[in-house]
Amino acid sequence: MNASPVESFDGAGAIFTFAGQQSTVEGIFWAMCAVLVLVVVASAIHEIAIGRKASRRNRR
Amino acid sequence: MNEEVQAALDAALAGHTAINLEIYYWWCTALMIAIHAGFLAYEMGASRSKHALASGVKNILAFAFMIPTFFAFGWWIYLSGYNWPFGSDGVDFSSIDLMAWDFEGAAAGVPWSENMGPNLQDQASGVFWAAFTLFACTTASIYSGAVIERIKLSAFIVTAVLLGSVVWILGASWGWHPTGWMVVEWGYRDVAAAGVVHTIAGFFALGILIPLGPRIGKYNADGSANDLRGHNMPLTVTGLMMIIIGFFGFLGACLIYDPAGNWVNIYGLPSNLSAFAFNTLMGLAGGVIGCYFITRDPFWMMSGALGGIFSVAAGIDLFYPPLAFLIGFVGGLIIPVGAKMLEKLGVDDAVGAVSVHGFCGIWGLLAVGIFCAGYPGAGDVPAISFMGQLKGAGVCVLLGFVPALLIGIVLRVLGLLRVRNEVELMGLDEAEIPSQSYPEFARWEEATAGDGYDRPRRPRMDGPGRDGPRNDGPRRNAPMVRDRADRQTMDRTDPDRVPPVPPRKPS
Repeated sequence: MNASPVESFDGAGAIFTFAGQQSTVEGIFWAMCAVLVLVVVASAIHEIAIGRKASRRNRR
Repeated sequence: MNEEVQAALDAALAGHTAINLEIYYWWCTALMIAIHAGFLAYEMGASRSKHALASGVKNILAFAFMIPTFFAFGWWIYLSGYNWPFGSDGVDFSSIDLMAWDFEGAAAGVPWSENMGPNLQDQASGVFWAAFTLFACTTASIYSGAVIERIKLSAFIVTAVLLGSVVWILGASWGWHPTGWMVVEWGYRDVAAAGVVHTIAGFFALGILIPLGPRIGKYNADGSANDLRGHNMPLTVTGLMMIIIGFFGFLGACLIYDPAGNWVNIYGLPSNLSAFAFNTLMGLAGGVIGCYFITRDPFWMMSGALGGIFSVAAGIDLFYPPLAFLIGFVGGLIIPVGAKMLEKLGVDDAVGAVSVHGFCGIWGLLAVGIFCAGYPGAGDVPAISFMGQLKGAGVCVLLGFVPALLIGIVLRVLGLLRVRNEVELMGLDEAEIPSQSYPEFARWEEATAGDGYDRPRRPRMDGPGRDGPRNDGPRRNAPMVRDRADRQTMDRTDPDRVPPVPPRKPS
């Protein structure tokens, strides 16, 4: 596998663009955003579940 | 412009470049000391109160012993061991030459050479030696946390010197040196030392933990594990944050300010601090969020911050920053899972060092092989490849694990590895340390413990307490507060024997 965009260092600028595949770079960016959203949603669900459990315990 | 003016300008520029280099590494070294302040706080907080100061003393001594031993032989090993033990013919196990050190090339690293001391003609050796010495201290501190609360101080010093001034620096000479055989043969790339520092130190810790055995009370008779919590979580997480500050010095010192005024990485390839800045912070954030996602525990979240940085360290100047975030995130997921797995296997790593450093280091090396394959090397050095990274990771694992396991077994057979069980139950502070961590708490705990344990008494060292003089004198550092798990295990424990690792709990 050759993921590197840089074959020589002459004039090399951005070195992370995976052989110039801009769509790959953008895909990675959106994957990061998806992970952030996933973690926040999972956290909210977890907190709702904890809150319900605490309320039930309190009622008893 | 006449020649004289040009010559004067060139001389001034060269002088400023040399001074910039010195200043840069001077402050990177200073910043790296924050790593040790952080480890000190972290390990003391992660210890139970009866062992807190002993953990601190261990950490301070690791720092102090590493400096003279790295001066004596560590720096020389780095300069001379890049082809050892194969020689200049490349990796060939049939022609191993144990004398294949570069004696001539490493002459400047001999402790009595002119370069190893004040020298007006050498503005590089001192600052590079200092930066590498702090790298060495860091490896020893990484290992230090795993073995708290039961290792003998003397055994720790010997093993820490072996790690910090021999083992990791030999690995650095092989894989973190422009002409190291792992670099030249395999195109191994580890820009900020994920493998040669973190993987080696993590697996060195594992190699010692196996013969050392778990802390008393860690495991129940049925093989289930207890959570022996440290006495001060806020101190622990604050210490972890200080380690992160220090790592900015560490990572900065992984770049070289060359005489032409350009940044290059340790392999001589063009790089810059901006690349490091992007990926350090993105990896850190990914690691925190990964650990939060699985554990929601601040201890693991801060460990995840470190693990995230180590996960991106090997390719810290290459990754696209959101990719560094995702790599750090995966590192953050690996840490608690790896720590739990080791616990189930009977390995009592008190701070998760094997997982944070060892496992994340391996993941970081492989991530470079996956995402940066084909990136060229300097001159004839092969391009990055997954197999090169995999083989390099294997070498780092073995280089850390095997010497540690061997010396650990030898020390254990000689009875020099672990403190006696009575000392461990009493608390290492009470037995070894001539000062107290929490003297006020000691009186309170003494008065309220009520557990019938016959505590040894010591002569009075301090003045009368708040309640006035007492006839029997206050017991210095007398709390001996034992965890419930300690109490459960104490009666079953043969005091002359290290408790065996219990069999795995059937699933």
